[in-house]
Amino acid sequence: MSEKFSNPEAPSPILIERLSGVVGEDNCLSRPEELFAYGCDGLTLDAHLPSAVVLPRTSDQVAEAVAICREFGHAFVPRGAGTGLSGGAVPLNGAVVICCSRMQSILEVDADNRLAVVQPGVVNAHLSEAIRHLGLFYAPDPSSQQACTIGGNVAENSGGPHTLKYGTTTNHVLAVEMVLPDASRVRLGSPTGFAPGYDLVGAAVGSEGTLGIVTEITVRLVEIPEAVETVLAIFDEVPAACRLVGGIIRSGMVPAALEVVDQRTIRAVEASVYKAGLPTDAGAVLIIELDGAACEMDGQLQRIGELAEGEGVREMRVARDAQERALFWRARKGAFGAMGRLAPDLYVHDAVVPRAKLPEVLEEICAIGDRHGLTLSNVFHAGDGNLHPNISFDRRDPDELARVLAAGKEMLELCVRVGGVLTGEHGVGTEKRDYMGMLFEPADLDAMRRLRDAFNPDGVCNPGKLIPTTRACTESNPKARGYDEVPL
Amino acid sequence: MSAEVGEQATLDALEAAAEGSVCLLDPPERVAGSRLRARVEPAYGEALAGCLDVLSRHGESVLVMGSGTRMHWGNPARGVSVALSSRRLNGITEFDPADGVIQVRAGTPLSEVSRRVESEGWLLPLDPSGAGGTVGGALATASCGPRQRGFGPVRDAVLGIDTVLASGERTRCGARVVKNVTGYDLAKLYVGSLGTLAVIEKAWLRLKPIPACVHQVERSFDAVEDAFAQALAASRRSSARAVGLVAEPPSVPGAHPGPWRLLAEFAGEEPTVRADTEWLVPGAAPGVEGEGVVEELRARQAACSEAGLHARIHLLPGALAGVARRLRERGAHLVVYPEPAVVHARFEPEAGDPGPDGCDGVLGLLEEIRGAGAAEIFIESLPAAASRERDVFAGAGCLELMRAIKGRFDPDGILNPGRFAGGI
Ligand SMILES: Cc1cc2nc3c(=O)[nH]c(=O)nc-3n(C[C@H](O)[C@H](O)[C@H](O)COP(=O)(O)OP(=O)(O)OC[C@H]3O[C@@H](n4cnc5c(N)ncnc54)[C@H](O)[C@@H]3O)c2cc1C
Repeated sequence: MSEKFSNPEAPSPILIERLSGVVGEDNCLSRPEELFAYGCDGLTLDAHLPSAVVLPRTSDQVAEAVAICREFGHAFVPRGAGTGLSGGAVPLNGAVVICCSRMQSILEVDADNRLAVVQPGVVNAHLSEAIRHLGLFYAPDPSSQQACTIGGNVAENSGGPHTLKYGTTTNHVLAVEMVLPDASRVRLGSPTGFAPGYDLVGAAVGSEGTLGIVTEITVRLVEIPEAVETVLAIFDEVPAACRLVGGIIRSGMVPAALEVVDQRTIRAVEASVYKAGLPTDAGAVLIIELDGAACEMDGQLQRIGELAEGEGVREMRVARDAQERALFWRARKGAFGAMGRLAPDLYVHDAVVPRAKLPEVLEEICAIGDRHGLTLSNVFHAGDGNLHPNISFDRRDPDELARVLAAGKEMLELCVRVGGVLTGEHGVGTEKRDYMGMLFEPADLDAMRRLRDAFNPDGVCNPGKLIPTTRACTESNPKARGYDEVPL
Repeated sequence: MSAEVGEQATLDALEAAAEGSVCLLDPPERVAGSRLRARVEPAYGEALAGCLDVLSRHGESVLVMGSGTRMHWGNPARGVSVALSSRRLNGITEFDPADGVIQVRAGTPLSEVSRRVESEGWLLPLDPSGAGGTVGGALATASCGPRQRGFGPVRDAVLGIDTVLASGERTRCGARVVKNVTGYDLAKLYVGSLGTLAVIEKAWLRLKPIPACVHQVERSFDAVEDAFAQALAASRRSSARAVGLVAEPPSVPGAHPGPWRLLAEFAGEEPTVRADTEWLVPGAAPGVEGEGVVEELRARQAACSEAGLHARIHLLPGALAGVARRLRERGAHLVVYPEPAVVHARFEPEAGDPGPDGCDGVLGLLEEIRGAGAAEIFIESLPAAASRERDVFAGAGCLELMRAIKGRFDPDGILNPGRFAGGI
């Protein structure tokens, strides 16, 4: 692909006028103070001001905006709520941001056939709220679900605590409408779950907005389970919690969630407004959630209790009611917020290792953090082997920032060495683009380029993401990644 | 250079690349509409890559196959005289029983993988109809049998794939871990692509735990509405692993049709399996039984391809009863899965049909069903006569995009030319 869409320094006033003509002045932003918020996503280290931001409300407007960007030779970047953690929505080189967050309609709910059709800007949690009275929910539940959009979830193939049982976004998307980079519109997939030909939906989910802009999504809905049980298993040390995870998986039970928070996280949570009454001297807490038919809960709880005894569990707490369940989850879901108390900035890492390797990898990750003198804590989707080492830091300290980046790279190298991968749910974006060579050979990356080029041959759509731009997958250079452009 | 010399040079080069695993076919073998004069069966990845390198340099198209159990799928290949079989790329390369993942070469028989993983308490969640078949074939066809309800589609079982592209380049996507968004999900693209984008060398698969309890039951219904309502409800029970309805056409047109038989398998925790079984057939006691019900569904689905026209129709559950009744009245033998809603229909060629293969009338009916909305049709097999005239990927959309993808992965179009949607 030739990434020939490098953008002029200042956007042409005619471009802004034409874009405003499509979406209306209120939905087209071009003043620097308006653009500032669109310069980065949740990965605030990497920010670049866009030339303009358009906020369309319909697929037609998206297609027209794309056509105008093309006409002016201007690259564009799709965006949802901007909660992404890998820089996917960052407008490199002043690209135009096409932000779908105002496309918020739930277009259809078909309870009999268990599907819904939504616009991409529908907030993840809003869909489940809107269909709860039908006894149904939308299963993918990223921890950011109160803010992130389903369009963003599709682009990142987002997961969440309940991925273990229900799968990630890709398992719940039946069809999408997409505006391709040439401004044409296509429908990929089928509400029936099968479309003759290549699995284009499968290819589009997780493509990080580099193949086109998703303007409508048909999702599968799932029945709310009859019963839920949530258990806290409190351990003196992390490896024992991980061994219990392995034991549960081997036993044939499929819990809805198996999440671990380590001691460093427990202490941060207990000192914050998310306080959940966890013992601060515990080495790790494993949250086990079971759901399904009410008649199977007791038996499974008993088996889990026996397995936990075998791993020397210190204490087991079973949530007595919904209120207590919510309290248990606060410890997990409030973890990121709680870390805000530790330092002004938080780097949320994301990598995956084979589940059996969790104990040794975690130990090594903590050692890496210590070696670099960093404040590191872990919350992770243990059932999937998906780690989130979190580093609390202050970016105003350039030396600390350099250590954060160096430690992050070492952690990824470690994960790859044991058979793992660079990201389990946050995506590659700009953050890990230049690390792709750790995992893939040039021919593997070239195969990915073939797919991208079939959809996006001239690179007008979200350039500079996911695949290294040169074959030499060199080390990422923080200066080149623009973190220092963010006003502090 | 005459065609014959060219061919000999290709064969010699293949012989060198695949280290003596070229088998000349004299007389030529007829497979998937091609007259095959040679079959090459490389035994390891490097040899497979060497063969594709030779084929691409010589501009020689190739019919990609596994063990050959599903070669009736897809459109006939164009201009192909050499087959590339992954049959000898055989064996389990890694198995991690603690993690429930396995890496398997494409030519490994599914039965062999199942035996191995079951000895460690795991199940291979690939469940094509019919017997035999290799891992590579199951992935390339994305073929699903009765347990799709419990196992999910083929794509869900695939964590990563090593492929060789038409150019001979070896590539890898995905990995052995169960959650991964590192780069495009190319494995989804390869699954179901019928060998038209790349040749699968090996794959990482995700296993499922063997359930604590399995029970199979059967019921009959005279009224179509009752049968479908009950089948869908059964399919939505939490332990449903396979639920299907089977029906024969009326013995003479217009006669009262026989009953709809509902065959179900529940699997999971014992109390749930007991409750679900009791709900469907009061008084049926659970226990670990044989595979009678699932085997019957699987055999009937496979039999749809033995003669006549076999259509697979994907619908929304709510449309099933109406469509199934229409097809049955038209003389179809049916196997119906309520969710995901799939109808397998077999029709005999009709005497007096104007079409070259006696299928015009039936294809017209299928087209009508498709036209009515939310229905997708794939013709799994056609009577041999004149099947060249028809695209079995009826009404595939996004052909331009699919051609662009094909063009990037296989620019000279040497992998299974013509076999896929829209002549890809
Ligand atoms: C506190 C916190 C917790 C989080 N927890 C999780 C978690 O548990 N699991 C998880 O997976 N992620 C998690 N995330 C990451 C993030 O929320 C997800 O990646 C989410 O899917 C992003 O959605 P968004 O609407 O914010 O998308 P954005 O950040 O706006 O965009 C993300 C990517 O999607 C593309 N995109 C957006 N809309 C479209 C569209 N309509 N068409 C095509 N491309 C589009 C963008 O170009 C970009 O590449 C978390 C983030 C935060 C801040």
